[in-house]
Amino acid sequence: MRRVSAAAMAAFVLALAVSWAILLMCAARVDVRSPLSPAKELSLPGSRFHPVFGSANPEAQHLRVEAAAKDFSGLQVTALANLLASDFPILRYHMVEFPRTLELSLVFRTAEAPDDVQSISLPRPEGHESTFDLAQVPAWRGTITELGFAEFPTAQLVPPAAGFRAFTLAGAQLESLSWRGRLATLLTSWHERRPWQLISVSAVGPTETGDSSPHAPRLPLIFAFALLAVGVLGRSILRLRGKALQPLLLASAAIAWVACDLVWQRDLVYKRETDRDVWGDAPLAARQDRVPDAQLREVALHVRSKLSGYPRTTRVLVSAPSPYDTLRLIYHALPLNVGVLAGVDAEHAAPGTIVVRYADDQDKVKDGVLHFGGITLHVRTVEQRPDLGIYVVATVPR
Amino acid sequence: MNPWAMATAWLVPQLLGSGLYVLIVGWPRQRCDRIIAAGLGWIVGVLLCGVLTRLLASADPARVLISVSPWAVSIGLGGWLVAWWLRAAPPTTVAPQPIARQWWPWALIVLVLLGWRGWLLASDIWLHPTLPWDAWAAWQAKAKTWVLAGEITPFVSFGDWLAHPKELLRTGIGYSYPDLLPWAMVWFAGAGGWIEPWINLAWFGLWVALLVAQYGQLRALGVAASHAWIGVYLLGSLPLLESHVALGGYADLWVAALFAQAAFAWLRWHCRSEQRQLGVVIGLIVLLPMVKLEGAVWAIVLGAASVFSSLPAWSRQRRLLLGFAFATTLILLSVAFGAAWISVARRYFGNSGAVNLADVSDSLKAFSAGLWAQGNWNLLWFALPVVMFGNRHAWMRSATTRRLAVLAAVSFLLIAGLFVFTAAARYAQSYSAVNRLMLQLAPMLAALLLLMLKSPDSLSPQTQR
Repeated sequence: MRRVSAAAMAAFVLALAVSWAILLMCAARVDVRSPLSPAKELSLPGSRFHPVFGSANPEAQHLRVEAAAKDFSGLQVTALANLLASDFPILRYHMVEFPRTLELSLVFRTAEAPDDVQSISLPRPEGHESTFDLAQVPAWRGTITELGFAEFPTAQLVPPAAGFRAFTLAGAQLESLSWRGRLATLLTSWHERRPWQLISVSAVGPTETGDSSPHAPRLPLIFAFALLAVGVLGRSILRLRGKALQPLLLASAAIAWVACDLVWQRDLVYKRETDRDVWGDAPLAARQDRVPDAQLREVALHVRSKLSGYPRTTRVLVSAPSPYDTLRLIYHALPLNVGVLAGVDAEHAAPGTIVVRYADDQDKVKDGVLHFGGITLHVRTVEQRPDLGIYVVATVPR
Repeated sequence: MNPWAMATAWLVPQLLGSGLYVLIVGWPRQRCDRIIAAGLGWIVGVLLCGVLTRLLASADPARVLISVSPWAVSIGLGGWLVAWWLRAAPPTTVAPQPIARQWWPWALIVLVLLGWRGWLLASDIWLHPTLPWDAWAAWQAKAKTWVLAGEITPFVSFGDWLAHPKELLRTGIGYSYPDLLPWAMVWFAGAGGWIEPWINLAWFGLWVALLVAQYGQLRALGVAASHAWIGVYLLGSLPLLESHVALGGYADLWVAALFAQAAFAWLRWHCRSEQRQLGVVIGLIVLLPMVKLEGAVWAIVLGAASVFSSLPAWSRQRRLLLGFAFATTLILLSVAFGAAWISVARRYFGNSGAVNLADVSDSLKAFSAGLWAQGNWNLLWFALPVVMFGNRHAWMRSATTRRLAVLAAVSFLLIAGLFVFTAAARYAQSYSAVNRLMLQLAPMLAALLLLMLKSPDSLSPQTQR
């Protein structure tokens, strides 16, 4: 193998450090004209916030959030004295014992649109200070008059009633643009861990289907550029070519691969811990009964018991406010012989077919007549309550 | 849950699948074949237990272990016995081989890294019920219906279901999806009823079996043990693959396992003249469309590759034409017999006129994001093109690597074409189905990366495996 001089090696290490620092600054979108530390800061201690939903009490400089509201969400806000959004694009926030089962959002109101409440999903705080770049949020414009934090159980994962645990809002800080703020934002983004989400089975990284919100570049992409720098500088400074360059690149790639993997494993640990928080105390066979859509499950079990005496061939047509609700209702109602009401036409809704309408805002059955989707059915009511109707098709008018 | 029933549900597929594997490839004298029999055997065994469930336990799925196990055990044991009976005499002279122990440190590192992750995955699966959308809405809805209703009844389209109200039919959004995986879920439910964490644990079994089989196949293709361990780690550390393990319920990982194993068997048959591997290829080609509709496309790709490989020398100039004729025949037969994947293809290609240039650009962006900008594949998609180009002089000399590269490239181009130029573009733009389809290539691509770095053909076929 070709010998490399100490001077060349020192130059290589120095050039690599510089190139990686530039890479880090590009990834963080550091504006080189901005100061190293923020020129302006607005400190918002936790005790300054007051609860709008849920209950909370000040504890010295902090706010202890003790309970969620009836809809299992929480909101703590504070008024601001006409703060210009463009002057304070960096948000730092610090929460202690924030539960893994909750999602966190920043909410704010502007003087220009006082009736609109804007909401932005924030990285989950993990006991230390987190930073978020509001400059990339289109709604962070104009004059901010009110700012707060909202919490709610993680959608489609956490049963609402099991989501809330007490935590402390230590405080927040708004800052003007600086190197420190942007770099801290990048580190928060890389440090963030998330529970399993609906999209997790389709993509690792986006927070939702078709996610177009701004994200810091992910670690594999950064590592790839870092490796590119190793290759280019290895060739140009160390004068390594072909097989002589290969060991350096392979070793660097191996380190980068394992590093990415360890970061992912750290995320896996968090996902498992979140699941343990939700289901850890339930017996194995009962874990599937603890679902994020407990209300739908309850309704489905009620329908199942109401229809238990009907033959297995009886068709049951279900409608609910959204496709998710409809499909979950169907899944919980199994083994009833269930289908989706929306696809039915009058010709094929044979007498004896059951119709189940959950939280359906359409007209209720009157005088034994059910209207939906342009067709009319004569039905007999099995049960009708404000949120649920169960009917048996008697005849289909031609 | 009864531990004996749990053990039966996991071990009987192992015996059944491995028995059939050795029946096809012969008594496993080499260590790599015993390892493949363990890994691939379990995967195939689970699916075949699903088939036996449909055949023997439709009327009473609760007793599936009692109805199916004797048959599965008999077939599995029979396979081993016949393979032993027909075993060839061991070679009379064996060239002395240096005892290589250098792979132990690699094995240890990989086992620690993957073992910790395995515990994380298994314990997480054990904690939560079925979470991802299609898992409960499509795949498990069928199995849950059958288990709770106490009988396996057909799923039909919504129209047919409504049109025949007196018949015991079912419907659901996944009515046209193949039934094999839901049948296999019924098999596992036989050990304790419909308990989602327990049933989803099969995906952990699949992960372990896939990694074991991957190691065996790499060794069988002539890769050194230390490199094969690295290959296992490359595959076992892909985040999206692990998401599919932890969030069990989707069919893509099963397709990925079958497709890759079939590709390796094809390489062994074609490049290493192991004639009996053709039986493995054919068996896996049959299973692929039974797991998921896309499996039919991979079955056609593998079928075309196998036909290419078996062509006599005089016809080599006409391979392209013959391959085209083969694929066309298969597609025409699928249309004639109303294969379900044809209607899916029609939906995408029939609407492809609606795709405009802006859509193509958005799809390309989203498709690229899935490969490079998200965290789905660790560094796999950065390393592949770099190694493919940078090490081309080395790997192009290896027939094995070259052929696997062509197979992977054809498969990749099919997916890219589908998600960029057809109505399926919306699934790329939403980051939904596109990455799941790429997952179906992941085991093959992880092996390809390793083979491109260290092609095995320079090694003697007699190298100890």
